[in-house]
Formats: sequence, structure tokens, C-alpha cells
Amino acid sequence: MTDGNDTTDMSRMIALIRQVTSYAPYPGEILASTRYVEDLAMESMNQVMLVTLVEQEFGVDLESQMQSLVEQKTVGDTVAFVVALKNRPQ
Amino acid sequence: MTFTTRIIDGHCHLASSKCIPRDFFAGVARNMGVKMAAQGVPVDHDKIVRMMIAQYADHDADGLITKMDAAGIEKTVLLAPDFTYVFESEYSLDDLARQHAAVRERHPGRFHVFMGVDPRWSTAGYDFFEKAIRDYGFEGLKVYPPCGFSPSDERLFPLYEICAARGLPVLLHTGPTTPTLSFEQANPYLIDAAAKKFPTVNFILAHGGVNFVAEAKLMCNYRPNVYLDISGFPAVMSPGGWKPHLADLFSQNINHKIIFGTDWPVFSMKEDLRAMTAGLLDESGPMSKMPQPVIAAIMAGTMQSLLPAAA
Repeated sequence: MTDGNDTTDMSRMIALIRQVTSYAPYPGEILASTRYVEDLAMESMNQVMLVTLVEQEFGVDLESQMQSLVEQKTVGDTVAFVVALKNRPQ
Repeated sequence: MTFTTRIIDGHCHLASSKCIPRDFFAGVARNMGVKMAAQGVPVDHDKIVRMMIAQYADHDADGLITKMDAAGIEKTVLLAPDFTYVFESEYSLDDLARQHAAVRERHPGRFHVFMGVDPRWSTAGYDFFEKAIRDYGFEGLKVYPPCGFSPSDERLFPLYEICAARGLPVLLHTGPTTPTLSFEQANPYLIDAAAKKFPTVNFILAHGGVNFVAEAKLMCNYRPNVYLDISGFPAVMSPGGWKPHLADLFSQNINHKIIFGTDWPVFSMKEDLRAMTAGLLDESGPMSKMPQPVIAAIMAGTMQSLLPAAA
């Protein structure tokens, strides 16, 4: 994480994940180390939904980042990726 | 985990947007959009399509090789379905064959290729298939009935005759697919006439362990030359998920007819290749109590036995 708002960014991301997995809620606590595939069993549709919501919530354009984005294995990886993208000089 | 069993992925695709037409993605995106809207997520259909296509950029299979290595997969059967008859396509059939041949040359010893030909191309299609087999050494035929024909359509018979003459297997799609195609011709029973007419050709029911499972099991049990693969298993619609579903399938005394496959990259975001092989083979997986020779057959041996002798 890069902007000093780690907890806030993580909380916002977790809330979005809870929203897109609401049909089968993850029973445990979602942490930075929680993995999309092995732990959350997320489907491609969930991830597309998550990308859409993350774009809105964090004000970033992720469409051109899909190749890199799907390689982020954990929630923490994604938060770091998104925050770095947001802080990148235009 | 360390993989001690030889693994051949019997059902995989090149994650290349050049090989899969936009209309294929568009159908998948429509289903996604309906589900997203139901969960209150705003839907931009074109954007979903673009995001999906953006993930299909592994045109030379370098990324796939990395994932195969991590998953303990020694070899993979790349399927190249022919959508060029029904969809506007960036690649012609010739381009499609050339790209798959190039991938195989780039990664020696790692890929087999089953080439698709829509039977409505008629004589030109038969000649193309024969040439692709001869020039590129492709090792099987991929048939995609949802494009609008039965797998026992007589227009396919010249292709099956080529397969019979050269000892090549035929893999045919069964079950639903993108909604921009028809599901009418996707039932495993539809292969029966062809399987009876061509007893020396081995037919593999793609996704037969996942969709129309009851029909696929019966075909495998009663037609000596019919097999099924379990590709797409992470997405099976079954109570308890794919592990109990496959444990049930593996208890039906047709394990000699079952072939491991992933359908990568179709389920790429749900289960990575490593997660699939590890999930099958680890202590909590559906194979944990099966004899090693049976596991070896499902994971590689049966598929290897169906390939032409030189493969």
C-alpha cells in the first residue's frame, strides 16, 4: 500500500467483495492475504462485477489493466495495485 | 503440493482474442450483464465484452506454459473450434491453423492440436482438414455442434472417414455454450449414429462429466468408442460444488472412459490451472482414495492412448 490510507482502502475493497459474493457469502474474515480463487472461489462474473464497482469506488479506469489485474491473487495485492494506479501521475 | 502423477490437459484453448470471435464473447457478456443487474451492479455491455477480450491476449501461449508448469501439466490438447462459418472472425480457418501450428513449434513437445472444421464448408473443409493434418501434424478433430449441426450430420462423415483412416480422435462440444449459439444440438446422445457408423473412431464428449452427465455416462458405458472429459468442472451446477460431483462421477465404474481437462481459459478467473490440478489430487480432493493406476489413466493415460501413435 502506498498512500497511508491502507485500512480505509482495504475496508472499501472488502465491502465491494462482500457485495459481489453476496449470493454465497464467504464465512471467514476477508484479509489482505485472502485469495480470490482458493478462498473466495470467485467466478469470472464476480470479478467483472468487482472491477466495475472498484472503478466507481476508487475513481480509476481498469479496462486497460485487465491483463495485470487478473494476475493479482489476493485482496491486498489488488488494493495495492489500484492505489498505485490511482496515485500514478497523469 | 508436488505433482507425482503425469498430467495431460485434454481440453484447453489458446487464450487469444484472434482465435475467438467477438460475438462469442458478446453472448457470454449478456449472461454476465443479467446477473450483474440482478445484484444491483451497473451494466455496460460493451465494456464487459472489452474487458473479457482484454484477458485473451496470450496469443503465443507463453502465459499458458507458465501456468501449465505451475500446475504440473506436461502436455495440453489445444482445441481450435471453427466459428468462422457462423461468426465474423478476425482469423480465417487457415490463420487459425497457422497460429496453432506456430504455438506448437514455439513450445516443442508441450501441445497437441485438435482442429475444427464446420461441415458446411463441404469439400473445401474436408481438403483443409486433410491438409492441416498433413502439413501441421494436428492430432484430432474438434466438432462444435452449437454452430448449428448435429454431430451425426452426414456432412461430417467425410471428416470422420479421415479420422478413421489416420487413427485420430474426435472431440465434440456438449452442453450449453455462449447464448449467441444454439443449445439444440448439444446433447451427448446426438453422437450415437456417428459413433455406431464409425466404430474405429474414438469420440470424446467435451464437458460430458459436467453437463448432461446422465446421458454422457450412458453413452460412455454402452458405446465402446465414446469417452467423456471433465473440462469446466469448477463451474458445475451441483449441490456442494465440483468435488462431491466428481467423486460421484468417479464411483460409476466408467473411469476408463474419463479424461481430465480444464477448458482453460474459459474458467480462468474461477480456478487457476494449479488450483484445478491441486484440488483434484490433494488429500481433500475427489481422487484421494482412488487407486494410483486409475488416477494416472484419468489424468493422462487415456488421453494419450487416444492420440495417434506418433504423438
